Amino acid sequence: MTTQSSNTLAVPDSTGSRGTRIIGVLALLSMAALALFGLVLSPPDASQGEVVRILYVHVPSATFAYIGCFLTTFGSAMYLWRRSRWWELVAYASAEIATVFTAIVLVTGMIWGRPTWGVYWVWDARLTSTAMLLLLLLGYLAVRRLPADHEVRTRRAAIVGLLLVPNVMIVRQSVQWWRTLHQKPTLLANGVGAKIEGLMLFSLFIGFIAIGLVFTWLLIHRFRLAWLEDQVDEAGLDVAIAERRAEGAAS
Amino acid sequence: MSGNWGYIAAAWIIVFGGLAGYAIRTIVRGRSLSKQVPAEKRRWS
Amino acid sequence: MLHDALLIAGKDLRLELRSRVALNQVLPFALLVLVLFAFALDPDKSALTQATPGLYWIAVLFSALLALQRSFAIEAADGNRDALRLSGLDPAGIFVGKVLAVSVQLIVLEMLLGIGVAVLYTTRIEGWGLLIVTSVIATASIAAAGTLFGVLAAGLRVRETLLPLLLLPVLAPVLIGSTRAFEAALNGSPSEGWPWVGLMSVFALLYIVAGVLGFGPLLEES
Repeated sequence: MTTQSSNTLAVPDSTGSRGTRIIGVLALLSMAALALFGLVLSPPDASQGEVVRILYVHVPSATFAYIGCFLTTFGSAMYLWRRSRWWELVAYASAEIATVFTAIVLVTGMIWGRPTWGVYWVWDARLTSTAMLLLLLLGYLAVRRLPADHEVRTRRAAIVGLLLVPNVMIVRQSVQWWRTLHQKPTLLANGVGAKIEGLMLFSLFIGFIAIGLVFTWLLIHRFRLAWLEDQVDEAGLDVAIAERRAEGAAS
Repeated sequence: MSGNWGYIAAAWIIVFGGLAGYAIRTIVRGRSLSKQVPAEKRRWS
Repeated sequence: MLHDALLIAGKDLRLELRSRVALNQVLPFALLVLVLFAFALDPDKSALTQATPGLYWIAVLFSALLALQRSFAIEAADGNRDALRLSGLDPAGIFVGKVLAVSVQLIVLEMLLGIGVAVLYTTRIEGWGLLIVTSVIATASIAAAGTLFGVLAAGLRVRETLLPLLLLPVLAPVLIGSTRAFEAALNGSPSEGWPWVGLMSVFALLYIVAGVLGFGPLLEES
């Protein structure tokens, strides 16, 4: 067997690689550790009771949802400024992952709210602005997936992506004023900001590592998938053009 | 107190299940698209 | 740039004066929304009077969507988009002109809608200064963001559904701000309303800058 053929044989038909496999194994291990510490070893909270265990997955998800949004805005800026297709794909991939994370944050937040506040939804500043963030992300994805020219899609999506973080900041500010001018935000007073220590802090720390590894793994795979989608798009166009040419030559 | 474990289980299942589902979907789509793209254009593998 | 802007604004407003689409279709729609709110919320109870500022701005937002669709529909016909690109006008000027034209139409609409609210909902109007400044800033915000996202959605088959999806979440701060400012003015405590005017000014500025910078690349492609 020659080296060349063994090389082609070694190429897997997937978006995986050595690096992502290592990250994937680490992510799985740390998620198992998170489940162990978050669900079993860490003690219940003094004021919230057992429900605090939801926060070990909720808070890191929220953080990485925001990181995804920043990546989208930064990538869009780099695409508009430097014409970097690499950054455009990063923006698209992280926007989709941020959408998944934001949805997870919203749902787990609502589940946390039910035993803590007695209701699934309150018009709290954080909850409301996260819901608006989800809608803004869906808008970006809608533009990026338009049934239109590749250039049209990417450029228009980049403008939406560029405005994503400024929009989120203004929405957050407005929603915060909107709530605080009418009622004091007492509901979250015993929430995340309360002092945590010992095993609880360690569980949250593991949560950040585990969710961060999952985020990284997803980002790499989603980036490669987006790149493949682009290749198939272009190849599809080439094939279609070749077919037309062949038709024209035949007739 | 026992009722709260239901909420905790629901939240953790949604996080783990949601992330796993999304990851699997990404891999599956990546596999099917990889077959359509020549190997030299998949520089990571 | 300013000259080009006035040229475009003049063109759009002349078109509107001759076709009267906004006057004959968008304004009746806005008034219809006011009547529908009265149907939905019992006018004899206090719900309608309490919600008046919010209902007013929702009516404005929905009418603005129609006015924006119209503003880009007139460019879509007969390859006007290409003509606009070939005209040699400064893209930033085109953007500012479109914003001006939409703003003027919206201001007229808001005045007539305000009369409608005062008559139909028997609102006592107070705090004129805050009301007028809020209207101007909110209108500029809606027009600037709407024009930017309008050109994003223009020329696509899905534009009618895409524009609301993109625009309405983005305009949430303007809806909150203008409603709170109107409430403050009508309740006779205008000092509570001015921070909102500041927030909306930041919003309007952001979108005007984004539009001035981004309109060129958006017109070039496609």
